Amino acid sequence: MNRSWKRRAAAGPEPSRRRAPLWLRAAIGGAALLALSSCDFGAPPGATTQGKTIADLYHVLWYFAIPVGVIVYGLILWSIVRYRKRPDDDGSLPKQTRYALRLEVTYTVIPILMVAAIFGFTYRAEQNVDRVAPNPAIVVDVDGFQWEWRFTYEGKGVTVVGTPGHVPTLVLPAGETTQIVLRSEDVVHAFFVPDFLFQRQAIPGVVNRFDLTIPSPGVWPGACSQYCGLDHTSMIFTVRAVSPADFATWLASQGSSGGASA
Amino acid sequence: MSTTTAAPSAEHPKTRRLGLVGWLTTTNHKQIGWLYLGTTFVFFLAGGLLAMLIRIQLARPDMTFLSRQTYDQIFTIHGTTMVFLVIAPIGLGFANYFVPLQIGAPDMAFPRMNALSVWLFIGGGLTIYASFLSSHGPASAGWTFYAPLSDGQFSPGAGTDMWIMGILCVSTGSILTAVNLMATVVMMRAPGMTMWRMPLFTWNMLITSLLILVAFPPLAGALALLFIDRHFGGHFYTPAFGGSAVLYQHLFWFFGHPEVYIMALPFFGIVTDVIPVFSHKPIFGYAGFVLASMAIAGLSMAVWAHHMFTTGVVDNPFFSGMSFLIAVPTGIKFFNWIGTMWRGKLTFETPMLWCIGFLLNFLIGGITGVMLASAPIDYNMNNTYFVVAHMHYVLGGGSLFAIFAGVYYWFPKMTGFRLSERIGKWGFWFTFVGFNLTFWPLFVVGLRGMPRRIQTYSPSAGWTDPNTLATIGFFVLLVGVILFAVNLIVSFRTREPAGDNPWGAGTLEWATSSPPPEHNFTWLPPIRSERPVFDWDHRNDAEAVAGGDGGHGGGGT
Repeated sequence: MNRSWKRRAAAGPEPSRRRAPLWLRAAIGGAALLALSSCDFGAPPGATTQGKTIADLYHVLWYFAIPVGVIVYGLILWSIVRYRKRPDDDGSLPKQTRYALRLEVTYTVIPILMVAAIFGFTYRAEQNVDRVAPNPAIVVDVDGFQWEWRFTYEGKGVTVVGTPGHVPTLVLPAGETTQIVLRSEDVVHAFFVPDFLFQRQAIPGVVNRFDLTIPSPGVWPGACSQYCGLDHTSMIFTVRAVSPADFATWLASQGSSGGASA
Repeated sequence: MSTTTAAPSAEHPKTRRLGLVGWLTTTNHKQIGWLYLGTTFVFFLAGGLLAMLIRIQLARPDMTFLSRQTYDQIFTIHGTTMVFLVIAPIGLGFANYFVPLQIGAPDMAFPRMNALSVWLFIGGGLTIYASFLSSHGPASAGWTFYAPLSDGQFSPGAGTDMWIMGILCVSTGSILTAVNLMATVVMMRAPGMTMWRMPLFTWNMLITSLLILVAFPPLAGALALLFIDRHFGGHFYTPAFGGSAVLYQHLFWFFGHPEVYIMALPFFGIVTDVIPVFSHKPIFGYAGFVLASMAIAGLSMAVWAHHMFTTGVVDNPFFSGMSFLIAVPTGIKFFNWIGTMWRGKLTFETPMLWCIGFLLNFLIGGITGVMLASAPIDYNMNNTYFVVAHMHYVLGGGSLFAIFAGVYYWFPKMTGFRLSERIGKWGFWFTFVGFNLTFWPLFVVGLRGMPRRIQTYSPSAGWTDPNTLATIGFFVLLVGVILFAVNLIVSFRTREPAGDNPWGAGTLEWATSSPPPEHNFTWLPPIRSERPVFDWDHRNDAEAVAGGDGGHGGGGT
């Protein structure tokens, strides 16, 4: 079989032979896509409305990435297997092809179209994630400093501060929109909650605002993701979402003590 | 027809073994190339040793193998070493040795400035490593050196100043080399070597040189301002006094993103020179490849703020869009490489093996790179191990594999003898398997939310198994690197003669002896295409050299 293939390859281009691998590649790509369409690709599903938007975008990107990866890997591996020099090679040179303009235009234009589509998805997702509600249910000032977090509930007289022995908890009402006002007191930090698929830098001299809408109660770990010096590793916090009623109770209990607990 | 180049001049004796003084005072581009490559190899081993310490510390949760301060210093110097002292200068080292040879020139345009460049580089690197001896140890602000963390208040030690000074020296050396390479390529090409007949490594070095000229001065400026902040009461980066912490990020990444391509384009060039040789075909789509390199270089200057998507102060959609666009010219290159292999007769000597490893790894780096160009994805993945894995797939699995391809490909030319193919293939497989075993798990922990640059992690975080696997992978990778070192030692001992053109390659460096004489060429073949040596070797085969001038812009087949 190999010998006859080789002969035909030496005879020059033959459109009929080209088709089979393309067809096969498309089939493999399609099958892989189907198998993976229910997969979360390793990222959390997103515990906030904003995070879900990001998770959805992440999945869309995989639907582009997998076919591209399969096709390019397929072409590379096919070239290696199919076009390796055989032991019975006659020593002649293969056809010295230098250009195929139509093909080159094709593999330039198709990626441009794909990139345009990905940009569309990205733009829409980002508009949704970055949108800041005019009337959030609660506004929390989050201040990062070496190497702790301070959460101040605006207009409620409640402040939670972490200490080296105590991880601070950001308690938030579930089902409502919280606005975070993020600042830094010294170096650059970043507020990162992996399960929200979200982080934002806390930069000295810059005030960053973003919304978190948490549909249902839960507890999630958070961390500083921007390296900020010696105890960067310990600059962690917890986010706890509770029902609005429990949140009101919690606020009242904190109001009097105002201590560094939660 | 043959062309002769300048005969050896009186002040340069013909061939000699260099003593210590010879190496210190040499202005010959090939010896300077050796200085670059030898020094970067030593720095590579040092940076690898630091990586080993990092991987040991992260092998299991709650490890105390390294203290926090030591850990911070080690990842700072690891990143600094690999970026500034290994990957980027290796490109300059190969360029020093091979750009003049590939264009038929006797030396670089400015040989003495060339010597200054290499010694600025070596001096800068040694300055950074000497900071291990300073009272507070080396810098610990991360290789990105973000202000205000790196300013006098938060990083008071002398090691931080030595880092700044070292990088300023390395930058200056790089800028001078870039000028030198551009002058060499533009002014010193042999008769017949038009721009569109240049080998693609030379093309990419020309474009890389342009990028260096654009990128390094802002870095030097940013660090100079930082130094003024630290010692002369400047407040460029302190907002309390009217400065801006964001300014540092802008300046750094205006350098930092072109730098990514300074660490990639030279090695794309190597791969593009090697694959045709072992496919026994010319490069497919030469003009498209060059235009794609130019497009990458142009776009790379308009994407810097994709490193700042989570700052909240840049125009994310603009930088996302520009970053996505880079996928197009990079994709073109993939099709150039695949198209070259397509219907070729592929042989798998070590240089080709490393090129295929490059293709397979770099594709993963490229695809994850497109994901990271999407700003909302960065809201999740910025500063996690996903980025660490992506970046190592590009610079390690991509550039480093291409560097090994270059070493195996050009070693016979530089020494006159071969590296062992057998040890080389074993080394490749250990490196390839070890590399993927090390960095694939890091994508997984990144997606599970592990931030980079943390010194340890809790067993309950779910990051233990991938981290342990990555550490095991590192030691497999280490075996691969040790096998490379063994190969060097064995080959320097056995000295199996290679001949002038052991691979049947087509570019001009293979027209001269191995190693080349002092002024490179005593004879040049006629240059009528991008592979004059191939044309000369096949001068009786009209079909092989037909359209030898490339038929640039030519039609379909």
